[in-house]
Amino acid sequence: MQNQPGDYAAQIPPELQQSVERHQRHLAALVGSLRAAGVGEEMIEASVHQLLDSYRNELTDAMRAMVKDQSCG
Amino acid sequence: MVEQKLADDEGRLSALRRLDVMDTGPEEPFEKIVTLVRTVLAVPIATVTLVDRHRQWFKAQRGLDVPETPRSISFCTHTIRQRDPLIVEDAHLDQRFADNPLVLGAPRIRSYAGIPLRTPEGYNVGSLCAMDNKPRRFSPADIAILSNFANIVSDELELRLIAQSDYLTGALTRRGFEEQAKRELARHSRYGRPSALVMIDVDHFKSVNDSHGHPAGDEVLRQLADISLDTLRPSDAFGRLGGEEFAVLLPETGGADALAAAERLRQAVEAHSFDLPGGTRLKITASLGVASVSPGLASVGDWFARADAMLYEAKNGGRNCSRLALQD
Repeated sequence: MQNQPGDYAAQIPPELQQSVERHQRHLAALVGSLRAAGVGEEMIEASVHQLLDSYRNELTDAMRAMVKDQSCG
Repeated sequence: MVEQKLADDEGRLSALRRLDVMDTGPEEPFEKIVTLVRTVLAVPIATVTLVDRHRQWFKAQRGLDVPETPRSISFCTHTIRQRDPLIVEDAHLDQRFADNPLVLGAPRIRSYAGIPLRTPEGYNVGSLCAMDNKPRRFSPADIAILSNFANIVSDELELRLIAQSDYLTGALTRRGFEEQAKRELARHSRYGRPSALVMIDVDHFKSVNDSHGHPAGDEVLRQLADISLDTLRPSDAFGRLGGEEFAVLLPETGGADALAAAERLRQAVEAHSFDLPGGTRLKITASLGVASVSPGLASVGDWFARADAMLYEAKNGGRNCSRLALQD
């Protein structure tokens, strides 16, 4: 069971919160456009998983960099 | 305003530099997106393309075997000049592209759909592209999918930008600023281009905090950042190095012009009335140290030290003034 960005809500710094919300909106819009184009559910699910995984990794890196900046500042 | 940004290539290039993504290695999010675009739209070629001054560079690509091409022959340089997608159903029938080497030779692009990749500031830094070797009509559903993938590419790029921005002032963090300074120093080493670094320190900032409290101090820093960003060019980089110390990187600027820019900034701070929460109004000054890049600099640390020494001189010289380091 993999974590979703929403699971990190409590840990996400406020400066990243809007970006996370925007990404979720864009992902939802992508799913809508894939469905509208008749793309199969399996492909949609695989796409969403891949995009979520990589965004989560980037988000974690960003949070780590921000913590590092704060400890240096 | 929006249209101005489409025509402002220097501002666009600065926005691209701030993303700190050019010439970096392959990265998972972009690799996955081009793979998905190719699969979902059933095209042989998909790219995340960033448009530099003289080249288009592929951050991620499928179906091509070159990392970049000259900008002059790129489809994407047309895409970034507009807000809407650029669709070319048959390049042979389009006079802009019919004799393009990318059409007549490898990779033999025949049809193209490109969605501009827009930064939060409104600059199109590149595009997400789907290309085919045969004429093709991209349906509205295809374009909607590609546009939504492009939004996700922009999200990924923006995430990096947020991670290197100081939350209080919006300036670059020390880490982000040092990265920019490293690139500027490398540009000087390679091409001999001039550049200057300005260090800025708020005079008597401790007394602001002591007398008015830390929220007032934060407000002073926020307003100082706003003044600086209003005074600087889009191509300049502005960072908060820590506490009340800021720095500016002035590309393509020699020592004398950098000193003049520092003085303009100092005067703008001096002229400003800092309105604080609770109705208090303060006058604040700043001291500035300037050092232009020179062959004698071995590292970014040396460059910072030279500007910092000038800042120290400005403080010792009575504050509210700027000092320029002499060239080697």
